[in-house]
Amino acid sequence: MGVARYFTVKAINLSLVLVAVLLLTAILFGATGLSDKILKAIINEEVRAYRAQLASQHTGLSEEEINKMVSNFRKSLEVQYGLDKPWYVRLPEMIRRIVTLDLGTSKHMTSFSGSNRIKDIIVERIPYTVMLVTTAVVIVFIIGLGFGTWLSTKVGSIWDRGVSLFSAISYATPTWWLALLLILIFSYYLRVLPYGGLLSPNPPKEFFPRLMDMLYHTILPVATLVLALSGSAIYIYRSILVSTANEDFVTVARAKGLPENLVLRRYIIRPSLHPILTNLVLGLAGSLTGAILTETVFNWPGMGRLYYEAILNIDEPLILALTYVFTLIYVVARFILEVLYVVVDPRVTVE
Amino acid sequence: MSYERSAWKIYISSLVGKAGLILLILMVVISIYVLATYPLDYGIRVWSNPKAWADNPITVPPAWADVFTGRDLVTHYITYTNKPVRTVDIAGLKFKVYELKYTLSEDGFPTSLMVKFFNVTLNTPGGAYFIINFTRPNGDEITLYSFNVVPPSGSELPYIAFAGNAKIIFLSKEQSVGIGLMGYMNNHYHLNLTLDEVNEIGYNRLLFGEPLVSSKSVEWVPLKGDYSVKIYMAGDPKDSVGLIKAVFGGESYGWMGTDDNARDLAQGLLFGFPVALAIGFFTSVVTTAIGAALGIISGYKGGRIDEIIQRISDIVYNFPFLPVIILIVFIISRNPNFPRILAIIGAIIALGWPGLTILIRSMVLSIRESQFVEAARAIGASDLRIMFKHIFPNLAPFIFAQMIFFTPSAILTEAALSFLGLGDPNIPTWGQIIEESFYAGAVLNGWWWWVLPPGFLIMLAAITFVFIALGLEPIVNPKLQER
Amino acid sequence: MSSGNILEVKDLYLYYKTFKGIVQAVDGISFKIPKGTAMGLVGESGCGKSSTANAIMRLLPGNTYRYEGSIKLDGMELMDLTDDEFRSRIRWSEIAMIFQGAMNSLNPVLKVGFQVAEPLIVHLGMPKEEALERARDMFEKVGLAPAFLDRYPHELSGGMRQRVVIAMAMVMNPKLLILDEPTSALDVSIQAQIMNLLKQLKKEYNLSMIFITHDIALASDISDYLAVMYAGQIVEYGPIEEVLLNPQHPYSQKLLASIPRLRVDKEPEFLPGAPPGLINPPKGCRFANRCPSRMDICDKEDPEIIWLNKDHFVKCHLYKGG
Repeated sequence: MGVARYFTVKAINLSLVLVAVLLLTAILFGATGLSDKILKAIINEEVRAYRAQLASQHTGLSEEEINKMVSNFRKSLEVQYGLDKPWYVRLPEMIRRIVTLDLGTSKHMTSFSGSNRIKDIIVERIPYTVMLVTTAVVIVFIIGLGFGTWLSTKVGSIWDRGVSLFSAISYATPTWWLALLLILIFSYYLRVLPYGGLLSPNPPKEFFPRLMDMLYHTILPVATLVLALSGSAIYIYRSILVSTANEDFVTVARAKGLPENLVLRRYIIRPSLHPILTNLVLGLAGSLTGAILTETVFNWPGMGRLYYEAILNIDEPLILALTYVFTLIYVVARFILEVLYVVVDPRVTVE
Repeated sequence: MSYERSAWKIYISSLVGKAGLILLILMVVISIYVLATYPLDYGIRVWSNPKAWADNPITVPPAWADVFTGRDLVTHYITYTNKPVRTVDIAGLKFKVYELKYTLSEDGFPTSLMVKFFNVTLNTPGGAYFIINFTRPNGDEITLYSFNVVPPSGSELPYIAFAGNAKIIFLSKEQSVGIGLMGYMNNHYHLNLTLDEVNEIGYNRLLFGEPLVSSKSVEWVPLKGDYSVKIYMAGDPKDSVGLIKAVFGGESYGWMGTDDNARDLAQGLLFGFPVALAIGFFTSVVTTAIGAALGIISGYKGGRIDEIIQRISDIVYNFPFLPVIILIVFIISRNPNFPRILAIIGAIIALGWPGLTILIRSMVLSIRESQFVEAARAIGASDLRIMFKHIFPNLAPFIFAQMIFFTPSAILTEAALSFLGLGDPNIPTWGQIIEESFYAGAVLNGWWWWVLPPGFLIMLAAITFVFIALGLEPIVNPKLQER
Repeated sequence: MSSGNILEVKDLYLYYKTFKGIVQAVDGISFKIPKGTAMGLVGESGCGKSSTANAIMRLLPGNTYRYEGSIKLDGMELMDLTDDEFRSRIRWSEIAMIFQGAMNSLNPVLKVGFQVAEPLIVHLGMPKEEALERARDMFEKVGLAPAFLDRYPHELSGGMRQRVVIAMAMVMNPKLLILDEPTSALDVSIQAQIMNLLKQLKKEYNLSMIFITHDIALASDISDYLAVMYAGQIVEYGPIEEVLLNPQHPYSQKLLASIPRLRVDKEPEFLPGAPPGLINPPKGCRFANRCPSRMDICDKEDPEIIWLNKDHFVKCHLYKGG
């Protein structure tokens, strides 16, 4: 069947991306010797602790005997951590596990509930990132498409120039710096919004007030993202719609005597769905990964911040897992986009 | 009119194009100035070198910030002396007296008081003895601090102490100063301060202020007038001091204020100009060159090569940009010998080229079938020749515009990486300055001059290229010329 | 009370405002079209033919500067209608238009059957099923199999798309059909098929047409009347045989002499120079600088319209007083 084959090919292509990213990560860790270094450091720590433990508990043992036990312990650790195999054997095994979503345990981090398992850590944090990023992207989409549509009827006007200027400026503004600016204004000078974090220092215990407190803390981060991204969004949607509105079939629609709002809906917006959706979905996926910076500034316990902390701690399994998850999200988004294309645009054929 | 002339006319007629060009010229001029006057290893030699900033006040706003505070800010003041003004006799000892004068005319407290001694020549093994007194505008003289300088045993005389490293005394922080002040204040103003209270008020307020007693509390207000730091030196008559320097820390400093290491931010920000331009420019040139070359080859040659290049560029294009770049830079940065700035540039190039390749390839596909290419092939021109003498010139304006448009991304990405702490520690960039400010709590403390100007400059640099790209758009994309 | 004319246009003006100045695209033209006849509107590129069509359909751009005149459709003055009245009562139901380039005339994301049925649904409130039935009938008339109703434009060839566009234009049985270069993008063989279809429809529905083209031979295939346009003005208008065989205006003469003829030994002549731009046209006759019969008065005064007989006029100083 044509459809199945079409999508299978797309899926394979996108999976290659996943594999490539994981391979890249593995090579970076392995070939630079970083992976070995980290594991050795970890093993050294554990051996040291073991030796100290031996020395304090079994004071009857001789120096030689202690050394023997320690070196046996070390060997067993090396096997456990896979250090007895070279990195190009060890890491692909790890990749194989990760691809099947067996994400392993983190070396340094724990979830808020105390679990070491990476899956728990990530699952716990995803909602926070989504709360921040998805809200912002949805708002930006509404503002962008709304104003973009309105603006597309005003090509060449003062509004058009003004928005184009605003769009250029917001493109050039680093979101994280805008966040700092807004925090200075609203948290430091005006004192109306909190500096960051998810909850206030002594958060309320009941569900609803707790939720309110959380929402109070999302205001500034979401506002920052919306402010930073709206400019470009408005301009992009405006350009898409203008380019469609210049097509001949729109003139024909008007010549057919169709009322203007029907022309807008059916002849301008509908044929533009392809690029509009592309923008929306990629914007969502992009914001998720870009959230790293925003979450750092606002001390927000989401996935982006987690990635940053993982890197600081050189938490290898967590880094690998998160890179995989980020890429997976991106790849899935692209795939959904391909499906939507076929639904929305008859010009995209499945043969 | 030739193509270039008419292109120029179109460009210069757009407002944003003009603005972008002006900004670019400004930035280039500033960069040339910086490159001419600053040492190339400025980062290591000056910026990261505490000695260079030793005399500056810490985290103070720029001198013009008094516009916001509504009153004049205390100016940073440094004074020197190396000649004693007189000699006095105290309890049988002859003391040389060095005097350093200062006038406080603003309604604020100097943020610190520091005295530095350079090159103290000692002629006897007993060394010399120093007393530091402080005279207030009302004439009262307070003893703040005293110390001994003795040549190390066995050293040759005359011995010069504090030759390489000056002796620095932070009078606004030394414990003994606190005790001395406490005594004086309690005596003179009839107060009952404890040492803890004195520590809480801050020595600088006590040194340069007086208490305003109201019914509820004691408030300290600045005491304007003439002050002097008197240094009494007892020792061999031939003993001398090369230089004594007193630093009265201002509430403001310089064009852009200072950070928590007392570094003059104006210098750091200026240095950022050529760095940003270099990074942006270099990264985008290389990325564009690679992307365009691969796109042309892929589109023209077709077949196997096309497949391979397409596949690779498709995969890399789909990498999530920020996480992978962070990963690459981070891992390479674990090797301290590899200059991090190259890692950053390399990572951006590695992930940036596919976008252009995909675009160019589709454009080449349509040009490939056009008649002049057919003609060239018929004459027997080699592939290489066709690609670079026939296809490339057609795409050159577009490629050039893409290059300009990529530059702000490069600048912003480098700034983001620096903000995350992955920047090159030897080269101060605007992103790094913001990073340091963030982790020093600048936002919590309201140190706006440390946070806002560098970000604003990043924005300005990025906007310059965005404007230029917008100005180029009608030339590159003739459809939009009809306005 | 209508005369035998389906359309009477008198002193129609359409100017646009651009950065470079005011474009006098349609500069006071007048003509009439008797019922059931086709008028060919010919002229070089940029002479204002398409603008004339837009003016009649009231498809005005945002920068319209001047739009006035008289357009009577079967006796009813169209200029008296509001924009909304014009849109709902005249567009497509009375006057329909076929645009240049069928490729782009159709909405790529809608099925062609639906696009043909759409005016019925919107203007007449017809239920979708019934409208599609009518569309199917129309398809048959233009020679398209009913299966094509469910196709999308990109699935059809150029010629098929043109038929869809014609079906779409005819679906509400308009009194007047304006065609702007309906065949210029098609192969010669398809062109012939389409022309035959148009002639057939004209006969069957007693359709009146304005046939805009730069190709005089094509125009003469279907037109009963010919209007020659130059620089925003109609310089000659009359029954096709009269104008073709005995052109009176120097421009018409040159235009017709430039057509290569198959069985005549004469070489086609061509006309040097270019038409004046439509911004700031010259004071006198616009053709003066290229006219072989130019007189002094031609540089000073714009010629009047002179009726040579009841159907044929020419805009030229040569015929003053005669």
